[in-house]
Amino acid sequence: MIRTTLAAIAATCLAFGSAGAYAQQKIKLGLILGLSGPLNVVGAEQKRGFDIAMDHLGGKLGGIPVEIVQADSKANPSATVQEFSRLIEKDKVDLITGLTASNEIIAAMKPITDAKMIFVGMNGGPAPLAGEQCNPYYFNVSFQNAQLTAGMGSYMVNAGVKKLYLIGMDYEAGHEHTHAARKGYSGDVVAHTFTPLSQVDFAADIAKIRASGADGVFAFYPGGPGIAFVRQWNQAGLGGKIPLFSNIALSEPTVFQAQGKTAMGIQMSAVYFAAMDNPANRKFVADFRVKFGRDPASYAGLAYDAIMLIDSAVRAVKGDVKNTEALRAALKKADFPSVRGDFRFNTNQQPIQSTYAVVVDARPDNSLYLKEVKVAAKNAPDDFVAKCPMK
Amino acid sequence: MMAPHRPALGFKLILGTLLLAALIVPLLDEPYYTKLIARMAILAIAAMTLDLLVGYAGLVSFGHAAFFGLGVYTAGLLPMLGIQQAIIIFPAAALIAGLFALISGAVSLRASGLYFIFITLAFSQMVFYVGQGLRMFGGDDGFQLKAPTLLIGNVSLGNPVVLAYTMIGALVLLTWVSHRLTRSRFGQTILAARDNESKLSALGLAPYPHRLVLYVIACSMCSVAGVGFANLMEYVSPSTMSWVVSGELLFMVILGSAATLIGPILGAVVFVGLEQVLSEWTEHWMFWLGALLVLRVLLLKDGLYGLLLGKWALRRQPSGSHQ
Amino acid sequence: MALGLLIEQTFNGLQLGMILFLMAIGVTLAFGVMNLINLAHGSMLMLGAYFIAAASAKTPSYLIAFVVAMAGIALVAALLEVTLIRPLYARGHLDQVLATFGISIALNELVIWIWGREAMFVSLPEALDGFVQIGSNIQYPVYRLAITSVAILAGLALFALLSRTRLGMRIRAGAEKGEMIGALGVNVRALFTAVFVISAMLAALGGVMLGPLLAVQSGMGDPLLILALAVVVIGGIGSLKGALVASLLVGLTDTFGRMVFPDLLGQLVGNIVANASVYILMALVIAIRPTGLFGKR
Repeated sequence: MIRTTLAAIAATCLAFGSAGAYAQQKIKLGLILGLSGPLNVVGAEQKRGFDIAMDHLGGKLGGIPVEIVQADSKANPSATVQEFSRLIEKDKVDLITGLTASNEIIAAMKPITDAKMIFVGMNGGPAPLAGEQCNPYYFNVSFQNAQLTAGMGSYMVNAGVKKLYLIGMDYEAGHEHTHAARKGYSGDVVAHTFTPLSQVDFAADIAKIRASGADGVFAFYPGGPGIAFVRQWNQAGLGGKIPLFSNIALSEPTVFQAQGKTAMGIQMSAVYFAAMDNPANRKFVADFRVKFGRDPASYAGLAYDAIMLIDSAVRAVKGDVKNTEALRAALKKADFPSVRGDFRFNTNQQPIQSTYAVVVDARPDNSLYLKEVKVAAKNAPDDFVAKCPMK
Repeated sequence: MMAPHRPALGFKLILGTLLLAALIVPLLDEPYYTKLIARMAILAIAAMTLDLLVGYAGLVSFGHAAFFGLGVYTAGLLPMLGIQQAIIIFPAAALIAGLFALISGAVSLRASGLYFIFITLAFSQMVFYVGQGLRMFGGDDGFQLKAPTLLIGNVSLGNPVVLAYTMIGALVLLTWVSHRLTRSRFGQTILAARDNESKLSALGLAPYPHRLVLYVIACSMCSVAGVGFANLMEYVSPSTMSWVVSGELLFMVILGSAATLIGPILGAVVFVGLEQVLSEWTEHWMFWLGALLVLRVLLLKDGLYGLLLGKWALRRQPSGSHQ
Repeated sequence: MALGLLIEQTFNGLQLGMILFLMAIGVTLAFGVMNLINLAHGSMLMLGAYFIAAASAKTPSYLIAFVVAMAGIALVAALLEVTLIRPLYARGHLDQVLATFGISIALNELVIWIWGREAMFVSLPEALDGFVQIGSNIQYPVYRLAITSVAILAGLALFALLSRTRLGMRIRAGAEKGEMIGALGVNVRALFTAVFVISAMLAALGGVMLGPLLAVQSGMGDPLLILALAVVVIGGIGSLKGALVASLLVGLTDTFGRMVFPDLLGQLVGNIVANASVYILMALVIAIRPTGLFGKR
């Protein structure tokens, strides 16, 4: 017992010693999330996934204690720029992770490039950053927007939708997701509209949908508006009448309580859902249930993966996070147990992963959950990697 | 008759020290704090120009953010046409802001009192929705500044030190211009119109044209701050035109003391400082900011500047306009 | 435009209009009687939604939750009036605008402090869950019809209060000749508190009713407040009749604008005009009648 402990201590000293004078006593990680603003439900869930990851890692990354500096992006690009400036220039963090909305990610690119600061994105991935404007300091561990919704188009065709109505929130991601859904769809598109970011009463739009004669609706609404849309959809009598499709943003564990049984039957595309069966996820979901009393949403799972990814990279460089190039190489390897099972990075530092079609269903105890319907795409890259100069 | 105010020597020292501090900080190679100084100067310009309307003319505009935002967008859009030079961008911003001020002012100034407050809000909402609706420029997301404004040659406002000094310089210049304006015959007419309209018409002077001119001037000057802000954030977004920003500018004016020009500058500095300090201290700092605003209105008879000047006679806007 | 869509959108416009009416009469009443501009009205709506959410989490009976929520609002409003609002009556409008703006900022953060950032859940009262069949194609949610009806009833109740009761008489007297009623022995302070509480409860009623429809979140009342201010200005500050006419006008303009303009002017311009339609209307009204449609002062 003593011998093993001594050996462990010796090994640790060696490890630290070999890292040289650059080994850190502490890692400073910037965690920036949209905790206030229209997507605060998403931001709060990301934080939960992060918390479980920190629990599992004992508050350390790569074995080194970590100091978290939190920031609120307010899901607002201007606030994001300001907070990045604060994290980089005032708090002088070692690396940054988080962000909740695609428009924020675009705003963050200049600050991180100027400062050569690595940023690991936890949610969303706008198209330009996967293509021509791909950035060596930006690692997207979540999904490229179109990649998440890819396959929904053909799925809807197979589900028998002949006249499709597309509607979404009027921001970067809203456009990308609805267009991704439309791309694979070969039937008749009745309308493709967007509603203002702050709109939460969809009475007028639902009336238009009804009048349009559509037999399928793809709606992209995350957070609070997602709750409102689904409830109003059902109150207008369209639940169960016209099939509702989306990606996982519209209805999943964070909003099941607020949506109740109105969410049943919604069909969505996902890269992560709680029922995914692999060792890492089983552990994650079990501990999440214990701590928070329900299934995790994708935002939590992806946040968890981001931390695990960073942990693996810090471990690989033995704590020498100031060596940006080494850290980048370690991150690229993505050598960590993802809750999604298979995960690797593409040359544009976006994920290569599988997407699934899931449906909201009820368990015997009447609690809602996401049930896998089929695999929509297996280990697929995103559509924009060819345009990225990084090879 | 308006009693001119004479700041005490001690007070001049305080102001001088602040200015000195503002000039020294950018030399310390702390980009974060340099940007903070720049931000203070930028908002000070916006607040000071608002004081011309609120304090001196008695026109409570709840739409000043629109002109700030027009400056931001000018600085953001002209580089897309290949124009980066400050010598073009600043005047262009002032022109665009001035034009919108002329049109919206012509309508708004027909209303008085509360109606004026809300109509200015309405016009700024219109501008906000236009900014939000321009999908090709990012819509509600806004867009990244493609290229910073260039002063001379390669000296760029994208450099925080250059930006800070430029904005401080602009602040001093514009404050001096505004001060001269309020002391001129034009300014006296405005003040008279604020305090006693009927007397003014008895003298054969119409308030409306004078107010419109002032409105255009004040709003154009505000766009200068907007250009600076675009360079500070390196980002252009419609949120710079929201009614919340207009409310915050009014807060700065009254925090500092209306009808003093210097007061709102102080108000802006304190506001930005408070934002920093409070947000580090607690997650719920917005609550304290709101509470502070309420306390200032209810408990203090005057803003910071007025309080600092103490018993010296001060040309003061009676707290709240009487309309 | 199909008749069914027309009918459905008319109902939607009426519903929005009536919610705005509830807020607008509160604003216009406070102004008429106390010369007070209150920007914290949006927060009253928000509190109404939060209170019903919190109350209905504790009791399965919607009725009880409703009563508790409204009583809570009355209490909060009375407290607010006595402590923070009362000193404002003697101040100018700028002070009132800023102080109530500050109150609304603080309240927006306070609800996050107390209830967290996530949207709260309010269930629809069972009896109102469902829809009515209108014509062959339209199913209109019962709940939305209920909202419109309740708002109309509230308006009628207010009208009855003002024209038939002693309190109402005092309120009207206060609006006409504020300085006199004190001399006539009316407890002006209590009267003002009563008026403030009534206007807050009207706004909160809107929030209580919207709770099940929307996500109950911080700041949910602010967009409606801005629209309500537009209503008050268009109708004329201080005029109840103006508030009614303007609310319906604004509600229908906004609803139909969103439908018509994108089709008429294309997505880009159409969306902008649709969003700004109410403000454009406001500018037009002020340009022609600078004191609003029925404004007196």
